[in-house]
Amino acid sequence: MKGLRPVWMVARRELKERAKSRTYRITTVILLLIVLGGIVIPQTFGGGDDGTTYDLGLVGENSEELLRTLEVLADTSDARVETRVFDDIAGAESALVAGEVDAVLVDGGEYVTKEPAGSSFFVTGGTGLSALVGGTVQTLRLQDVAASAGVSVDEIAGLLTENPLAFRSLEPLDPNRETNTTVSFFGLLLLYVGILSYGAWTLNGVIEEKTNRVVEVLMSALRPHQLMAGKVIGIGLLGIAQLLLIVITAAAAALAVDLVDIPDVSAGLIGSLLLWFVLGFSFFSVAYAAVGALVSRVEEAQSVATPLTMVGVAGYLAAFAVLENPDGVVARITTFLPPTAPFVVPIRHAQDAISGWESALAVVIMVAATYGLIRLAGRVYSGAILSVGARVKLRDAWQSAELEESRRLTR
Amino acid sequence: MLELKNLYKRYGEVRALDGGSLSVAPGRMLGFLGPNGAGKTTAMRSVFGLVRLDSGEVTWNGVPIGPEQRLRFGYMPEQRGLYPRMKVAEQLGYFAELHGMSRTDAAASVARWLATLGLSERSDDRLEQLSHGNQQRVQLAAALVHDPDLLVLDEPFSGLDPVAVETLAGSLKAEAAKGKAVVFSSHQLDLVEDLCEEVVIINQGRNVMEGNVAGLKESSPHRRLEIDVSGGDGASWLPEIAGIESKEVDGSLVRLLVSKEIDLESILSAARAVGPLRHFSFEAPSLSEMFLRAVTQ
Repeated sequence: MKGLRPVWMVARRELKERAKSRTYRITTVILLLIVLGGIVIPQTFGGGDDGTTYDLGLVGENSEELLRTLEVLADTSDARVETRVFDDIAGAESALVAGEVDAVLVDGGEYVTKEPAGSSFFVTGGTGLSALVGGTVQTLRLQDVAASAGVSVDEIAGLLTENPLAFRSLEPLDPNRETNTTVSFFGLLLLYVGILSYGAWTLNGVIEEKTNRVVEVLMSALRPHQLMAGKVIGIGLLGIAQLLLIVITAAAAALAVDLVDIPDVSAGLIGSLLLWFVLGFSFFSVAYAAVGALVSRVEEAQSVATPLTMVGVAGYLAAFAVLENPDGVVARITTFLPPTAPFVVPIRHAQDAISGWESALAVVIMVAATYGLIRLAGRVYSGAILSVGARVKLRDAWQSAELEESRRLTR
Repeated sequence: MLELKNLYKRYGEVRALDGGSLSVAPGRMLGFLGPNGAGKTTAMRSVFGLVRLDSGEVTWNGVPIGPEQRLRFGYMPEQRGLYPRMKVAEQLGYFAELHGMSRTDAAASVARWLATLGLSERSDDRLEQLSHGNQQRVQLAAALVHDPDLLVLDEPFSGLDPVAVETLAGSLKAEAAKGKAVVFSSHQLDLVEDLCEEVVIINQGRNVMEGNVAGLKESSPHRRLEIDVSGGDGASWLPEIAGIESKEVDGSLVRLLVSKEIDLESILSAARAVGPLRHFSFEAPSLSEMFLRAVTQ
């Protein structure tokens, strides 16, 4: 308890001071607006169903049945066809030239377009409106032929919609696998974004005390690893809070405008995703703190952060490799490597391709590595303070701290 | 009792500490003096584990200092540092709690110190909104707020106006009177002479003078002698006797640096022979003079 109270006090200060800062509030509001705008605006003003609307001019004899069939076909391909009847061809053609209609159908057989039709009839039946109209005419003719041959329309329709093959797979059908994988990838994306955005906060936060020189006062009251841990926890909680706020807002907005349905995934997978988000986020935050301990000025921060950011990107990419082969050697190795495990384990979990002991061992390794990194960050930090001045080489900082530690122990 | 014994620290070719020592007992105030680069800051940092000594003993009540003891120490570092955007009272409360105070005690102590240092009205201002002098007061409050047993202050008076110096000096005296051990470094030697009973002067990492200020002055082999005789012009009347080390003439006023054992009688009678005496003083050198002599030898 004695060692944890200062950690919590550092974390609490970070939380309070940062949450109060104007920068934090403004970025949170801007991010919320972007996310909300990105979801709500296209849904509200873009027609919602993502369908295309065609304008078709009609001249002469076009049967009721043709128009009805056209409507049905258009509906199956998420399109709508607005029709406009013209008295004569000349009137229809001038509307076509003026761009008021996309095409004109004459007497249920002739299809008139402004540009040569060749390009749009590239594949059989053409595309877009011409395909719809062509398909309609084709269907009606097929029905006529079938009727005259004594075959009912329903029989023809049945033959065309049924799949003639019987399917059998060697692995049992898991209807959730695809959803699970999608949800996991969404989780990984959040982790990735979280690491990249909030890692910089931690990095700069660790340099803060050195820049404003409050470190000498702090070091009389705190052990360096307590300062490190407190920083990582405080900044991490604030980052996760911001991310949660944005994700929940986005999810609520997406559900409200019917963009997505609530995915049907198991509590186990959600638990795994949350656990690994926290583990991965902590590991990378601590790693950013450790590299932050090496430098004394914010200007130097970026150069030491870059290698770490690359490691994060590599971990994210590893998840894609593992998706291809969730039981393979790469998958098994990356499960036990702290930088890749947070991305790889949930994916394997979603694919049901990881055993219990592998999961458990991966968690143990991850927790141990994070704890080790906190101690390392603390040592590097104290080493860097003990040798005041320019950027410290990792090895020098380590040795400096080690000597100090042994001195303390031998006293 | 804080004791630093035989401290050695090299930075490459530079010897920051070369055997320097000091000790300060509870209730005492020690002036830690030395020219720039003498090793004062390095020695003070060693108390807080902020420097890795090559060798030497740093103890509190005979026990090597570790993190536990440091919670009972207050430190004002040479490079001042506080959180610029944090409110004054919150900041001090944070430091107090970090040093182990409960939140209630911390709040009470913060209010008390802000009142003592005349900052009560600024408690809700961010540090960066305060003047340099007031920031300095907050820095001192940060060293004092957790009611430490030992105060180590690196140049607490530098850059302050005389009013602020008076306030800080008064606070330090009061703390020492309460039984705290106080050690501070300063270049304001007159102030040190007023405040401290004891001093340690170091140069190039080594002690060159230490002890009770009055005793040091008394044991100095030199005295400052000033004579003003009406009718006297220059120092031509001055007898040629042993022990006069230097002289300075300002109209009829003669200032001499003389040996402690000089024959005062013969000077006095020679002066009287010229005319009536307007001024005569025979004093031990000031701390500044002893300091200059000690560090230039």
